[in-house]
Parts: sequence; structure tokens; C-alpha cells
Amino acid sequence: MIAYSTTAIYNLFVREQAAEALDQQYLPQAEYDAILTRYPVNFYSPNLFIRIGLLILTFVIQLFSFGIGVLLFQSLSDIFLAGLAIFFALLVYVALEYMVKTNKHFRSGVDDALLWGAAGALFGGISYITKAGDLANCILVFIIALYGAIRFADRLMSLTAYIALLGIVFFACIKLGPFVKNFLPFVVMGISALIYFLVKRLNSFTDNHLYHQCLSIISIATMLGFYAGGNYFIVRELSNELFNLDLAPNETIPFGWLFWVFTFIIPVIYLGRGIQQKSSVKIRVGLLLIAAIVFTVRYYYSILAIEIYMSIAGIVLIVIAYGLTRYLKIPKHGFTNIDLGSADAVAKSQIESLFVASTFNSQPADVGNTNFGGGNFGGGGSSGEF
Amino acid sequence: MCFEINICTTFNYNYIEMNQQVFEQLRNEGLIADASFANIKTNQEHSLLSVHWEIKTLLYLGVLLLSGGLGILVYKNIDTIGHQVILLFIALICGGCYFYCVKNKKAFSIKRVTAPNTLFDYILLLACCTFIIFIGYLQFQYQLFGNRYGLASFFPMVVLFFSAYYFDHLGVLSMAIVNLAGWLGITVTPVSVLTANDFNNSRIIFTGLALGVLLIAMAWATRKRKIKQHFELSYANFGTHILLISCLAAMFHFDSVYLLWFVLLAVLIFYFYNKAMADKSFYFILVTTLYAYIGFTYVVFDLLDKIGAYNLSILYIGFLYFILSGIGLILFLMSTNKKIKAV
Repeated sequence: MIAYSTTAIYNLFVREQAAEALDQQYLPQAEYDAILTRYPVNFYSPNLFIRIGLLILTFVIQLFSFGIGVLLFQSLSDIFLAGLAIFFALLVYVALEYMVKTNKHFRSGVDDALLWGAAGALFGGISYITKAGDLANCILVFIIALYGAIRFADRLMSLTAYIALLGIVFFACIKLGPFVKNFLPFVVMGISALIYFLVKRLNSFTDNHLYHQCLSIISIATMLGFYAGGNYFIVRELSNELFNLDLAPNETIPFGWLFWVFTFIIPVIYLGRGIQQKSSVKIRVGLLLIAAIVFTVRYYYSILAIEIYMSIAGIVLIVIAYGLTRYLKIPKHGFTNIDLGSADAVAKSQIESLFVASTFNSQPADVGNTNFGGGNFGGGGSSGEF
Repeated sequence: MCFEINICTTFNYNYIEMNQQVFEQLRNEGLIADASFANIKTNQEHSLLSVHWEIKTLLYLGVLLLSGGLGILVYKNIDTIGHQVILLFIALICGGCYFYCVKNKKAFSIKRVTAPNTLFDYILLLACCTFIIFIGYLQFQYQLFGNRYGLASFFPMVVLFFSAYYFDHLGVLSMAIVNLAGWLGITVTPVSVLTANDFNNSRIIFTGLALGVLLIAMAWATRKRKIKQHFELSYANFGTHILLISCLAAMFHFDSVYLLWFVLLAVLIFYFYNKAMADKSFYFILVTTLYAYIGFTYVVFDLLDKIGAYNLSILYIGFLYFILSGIGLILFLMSTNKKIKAV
């Protein structure tokens, strides 16, 4: 089923586990080395940055290879070019299988780019020839992405498959007529919940190491999808847009109160369950969605100006964080404020510093349009945007 | 480079839950001792969940929202509420934050000093942001620096650099570098370096080149003099990008003598590539390779253009160039990857 060698994936899984144990100093180095020799991994998986480079270049090669094909047959009709895209997709797919089977590429950037290139060309070609509508497009994406996810355990493919599935449900409900349309939010929530529990079941199988990353991505997506299905803002604005309700600004939708309840209660449940189960994934999703509550409320009931909200929210967040820091000075109830991660603090703050540099406005406002500083460099420019 | 490996693990970070079955199997195979297994088992049962990064994110968002909110507040109410009231309020926050930092900081050292607690870094960040707002407001309302606008951005920059070194804060250092570039008239934030600058302006290009050289020199001096060595990467990162982008811009802008600029680009690439190899830095290998590729491609296409202007066969050659050069670069990157890992 899976294209990569299952033994090698299992060995990689064991190595990751051992590395984690070594990192937390449960294992001596000698035992770790013994594990490495006993569990060899023959994959070609280069460094992350090299992977990015290989990914970009493989896309460039594919693009221009297809371009040459188009140049050769440019006089022919569009349908023929769509057929060429499908043929191209098959070629790329063969190359992908070859790279994986013979050259043992595993998340090397090359296999990622070939997989996405093949999937994209296949979808484009078929969709163009069949003149597919919304529903058919979603079904097509779902089939291709599901295949990609199963065969290559690609995380982004599995996420795409889930989103396409939601799309199928969405367009199918719209097609089924006005009665079913009313239940659309509940159908989306139901499907998401169903997949969430299905994924949980799948995760309990012993050989889940093949797909555990795909499954955890999908489970996060279903948690978000479940909330999106019940969020007042999304339901109201989408139904207004799609079903031409022409709601007045302060008019509500049928069952509006129910969606307000969902809007408030789901993030709290996620957060609560996360704290109870000590699941950092649920805690993070819960925190993210609490921000969604704030945005939803503020959208309909804006009493104060945005900057007042920002300032108040900022102060509240700082106070909460301060309180938590004080509270967790000594670890309590299985929670700690100490960073248990492996990467050292300098590396993390390097990344963080880039966020700081790009998000904080570090230029004094309105210092003037002309900048006379830096006489050495000819007076400095004025076209830089502050 | 040690922190680069860590950057990789940070990005590749998958939530790894230790799986007891695996360790049981490893014990049965005699690969791990009973003591280690018992160690893992007890720790599994009493495991701690770290909320360190969640708290840090809350603080980060808090500071971001508060300083953003205050910034807009000042901007909007610049004519309505009393200036003194606003100024006093911002000064209080700024002063309070700086006071906290001075009081809680560890002793200064030219080596790396860790923050005394999680809160410290963000309080300092808030102090720096409010200080910038404060100076900007003073300048706008009272023309503190008169018409010497350069001084109005020079002064906060000095304070930022001082804060970065005095309190040892990488984020503030990045802000200071961005501010330095702003004082010279260019934008170097990662998101907008390409969009916010007008690289058709020769003055911007020369400023960018000079700034890049200055930052690279700072990176070099930081390592050589062993003053806050962990600051090197910030200088080198901004410096490399701005220098190579300016050099490429110069190639495109002064197209009558672009080959001269290409020679300069080649020299720079040679320097950065060797440095990256010596530091075993995959990141800088990738960056220099991509910039070199862009420059080289420009030269190739200019030559193709000169041979036969917009002839169809030239188009084929161009497409073939991309395919072949792409394959060539892939092989190059793969062998470089191997070389670095082998050492």
C-alpha cells in the first residue's frame, strides 16, 4: 500500500523514539548507538534547507518540461493540451515511483515536488476535459489526495483530502435542495466528529507509525472543522451569502442562539479536555479558538474602538501569562513552565527574533518623509516605506 | 553550526509521544538495559507537560496587541485628548518596563546571558516598543529633534542596540537592525524587503550594498571579538540577504555594465559559500545557491537575447536551460549535503 519501505519507516520511528529518550536523558549514549546500528534507515532524507532547495528546483524542472511539451504542440486544441497534462502527470508519477523505489528518496523535497506536480497536472487535465463543476472537482481532488495520502503518507495530501471531503458534503447538501441546506452546519459538524473518532480508532492500532503524522494533522483539522461548522460568524455569513437571505446587520439566523452556544462552548471544551488529558494539541487548538470567540463577538457587538480592544486584550494576555508563570513556578498537576524540548533556546529565539522584526513596527511613526541620516551614503533614500 | 541543527529540529518538530511498546521491544532485544527501561516507564507515568511555549506565545501576542493598540490610540487621538496625558501614560509603561528589566536583569557579560524568567524578554520588548512610540509622538507633536529627521530615528536605534546588548535580547537586536536600515532609508524586514524598496533607484542599491557590507562586518567582528557571539547569525542573516539582493538589483539596474556587477556577485557568492561550508550551514548554502542561480540565469538569458531576439528556437533553448540547470543544481545540492554531513 505505502510506497516507502515499511521496515525503514518503522526503523525511523524507533530511532525517533530513541532520540527523544536520549534527549530527555533516560538513555545512555551507548545504548542509543546500539539502537542506531540495529535499526538502519536507508532513506535519502537530506537536511531541511536542502529539501527546500530540491523542492523548488524539482518544481522548476517540471514546469519547464511541461512548457516544452506545450511549445511543441501549441498549434493543437486546448483539449489536447489537457490530455498532454494527464500524460505528463503519468510520466511524473513514474518518475516519483522510481525515485522512491530505486533512489530511496523519503521526504527529500524531490518526492514531495513530484507528488504534488503529478497530482496537480492530473487534476488540471481531467477537470478541464470533463468541464467538472464544484462537486465533481471536489470529488476529483478527494480521490487524488486520498491516493497520495495513502500511498506516500503525505501530510499535506491527507489534509487536502479532508478539506475536499468537506467540500463534497457542502456542495452535495446544496444540490439536495432547500430542506437539506438548513442542516448544513450540523452535517459538517457530524462529518468532522465522525472522522475525528475514526482517526482516534486508527491511531490506536499498533502499526500507526506509518501514518501517525497524517492522522494527527487530520485530527487537528477535524477539531477546527467541527468548530467552523458551529461558529456563529461562519454560519451566518455563509448562509447569508449562499442562500441570499439578505439579512439586515442586526438580524439573526434560524437557531442563532444555538450557534452562539457552539461558538462559546466548543473552545472551552477543547481547552478543558486538553488540560484534563494533558494534550498539548488540544490546549493549543482551544487557545486558538478562544481568539475566534473574541473575533466573533467583536464582529457583531463592537462597543469600543479596535485599538481599545487591542490594548485591553494585550493587558489581559500579559496578566494571564504572568499569573501562569507565577503559578507554575514549581510544576503543578503535571504541568510545568520549563522548556522540555530538545532544540536549544538560542535557536528558538533566533526564529522568534525574525517574527519580532517583521511584526513589530520598530520605526518611529511620522519621523518625516525625508531622511537626512547617513551622510556617508549620499544622504539616505526617501522611498523606503516606514 | 550548532543552532542551525536546532532550527531544523524546531521546524521538523513532531509531537513525539514515547511509545512504551517500542521500548519494551528494545529491552527484549537486549538493546537497552532494564534500568533505562524502568527510567522511561516511571517518567511516562509521571510525565510533565510543558506549557512553556504556550505561555511565551500568550506573552508575545499580549505585547504585540498592547503596543499595536497603544500605537493606534496615539495616532487616532493625537488632536483630542491632552498630549501630556498620553505622553505620561506611555512614558509610565515604558519607564515601568525598563525599571523592571534593570531590577531583574542578570549581571552583564560579553557572553550569552539567559533571561532571569519567561516574562523578562517580553517586558523588555514592550519597553522598547513603547519607547519608540514615545519618541515618535514627541517628534510629531513637539518637534523634539526639529527638522533633523535622521536624528529622530537615529536616537531610538541607539537605544535599541544598547538594550539588545545590555539585556541580551535577540528580538530587540533584530528590531535595531531593521531600524538601522530604516534610518538609512531601506526596509529589511523579512516580509517586505522585496516589495517595500524601490530597487530601480541607484541610491537605494548603493545604500543596500553598504548596509550589507556593514552588517557582514558586524557579524565578522562579533565572532572575532567574541562579543555576544550568538548575535552573529542575526547580523549575518540580514547582511547576506540585503547584500546579495542589492547586488542582483545593481545587475538589473545598471544593465550596460552588468557583467562587472556579475563579477562582484560571483566574488560575494564565493565568499559566502566558503563561509557556509566552513560553518556547515545548510541554510546559507541554500540562500547563496539560489541567489547565484538567479544571477547566472540573468546572464544566460541576456546572452540568448543577444544571439537571436525572440526567436522560437531560443525559447526552446531557454526552457531546456531551466530543465538542465535545475537537474545540475539538484545534483550540486545533494553532493553538498553529503559533503557537509560527512565532515
